[in-house]
Amino acid sequence: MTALPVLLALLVPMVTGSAAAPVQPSDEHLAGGSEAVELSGQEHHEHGAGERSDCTAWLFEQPWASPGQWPSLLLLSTILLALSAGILLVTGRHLRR
Amino acid sequence: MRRILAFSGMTVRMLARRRTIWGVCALTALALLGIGLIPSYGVASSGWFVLDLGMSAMELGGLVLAIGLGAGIFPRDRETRILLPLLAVPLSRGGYISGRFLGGAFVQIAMTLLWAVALMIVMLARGLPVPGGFLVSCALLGIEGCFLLSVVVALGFRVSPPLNAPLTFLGFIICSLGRQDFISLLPGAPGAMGLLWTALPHMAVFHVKDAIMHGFRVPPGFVLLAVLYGVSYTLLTLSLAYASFSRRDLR
Repeated sequence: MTALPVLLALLVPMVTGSAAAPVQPSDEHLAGGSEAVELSGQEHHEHGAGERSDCTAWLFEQPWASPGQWPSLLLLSTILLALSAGILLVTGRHLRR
Repeated sequence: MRRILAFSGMTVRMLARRRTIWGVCALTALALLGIGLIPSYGVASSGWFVLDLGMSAMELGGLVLAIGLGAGIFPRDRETRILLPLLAVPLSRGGYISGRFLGGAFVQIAMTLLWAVALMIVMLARGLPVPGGFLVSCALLGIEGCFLLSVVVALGFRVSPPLNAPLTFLGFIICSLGRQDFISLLPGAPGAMGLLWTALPHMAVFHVKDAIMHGFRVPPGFVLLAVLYGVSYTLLTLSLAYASFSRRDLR
């Protein structure tokens, strides 16, 4: 029963969206420098040094850039694996009967 | 286990004889070639859209390939009457699903690898750098393709191939939506839609192309997490397929 609050604390933010704590662009990036390679077209930067650009929010909200979502993903994967095992077990028993 | 592996080998050979697979493979290769031929018009960051469009073509190719590989497997086995002899002696129902899925997944991964090499050749031929993490991004597309294949195989036990394809497409589109876009489908029930969105698989987890295009390093921990996520959903889908198939009267 003690696991329930932990479970809810991890899953509820994912549902409400508040767990999405996007990776912030690095200080070097915000200062006008770049950690990106030439491929990205860095010359098209539209925000000044030190400012966050709404135009690039979509990039920093993706799962790979949002470590806040990762515990929820891990928990969800664990639940799915347990669910799969449960289904296999129940189906196996049903077939043996 | 040896029987299942032998059966998956038979599945690979069976799938390789089908024209559909080679058609999808050729069309995707042509799309990659076409993307490679788009003129850059002197734009310095032309590598950005070649990679973006190329990886999008690979993803869509993986979706179409999964449908081509998986939609007809069960109906065809039933129609050609090889299903009952298979289940009567050498294979259990679980073994049948596992063997057919493993064979299909092998073809899916091989094709993804082939397309990745083709895209690399296109980029190198245009004198564009192949960014670090490119193969990781392709590997995640392969995992996504295997998950889509498991969905198609699972649906194949309940619906006909002509219905399987649009259902899978629709599912893919819904699972590609972000949270806000998904809730906007039914804005009157944001809580229920948010919960449903959480339970649905998110294709965005497998997408790291934006990261590598913009030169960001994808954390290895996230890559492992994405693989675990894909494997978990695939196992759940196959378990549901097994539960559905085990209750099916084949006479």
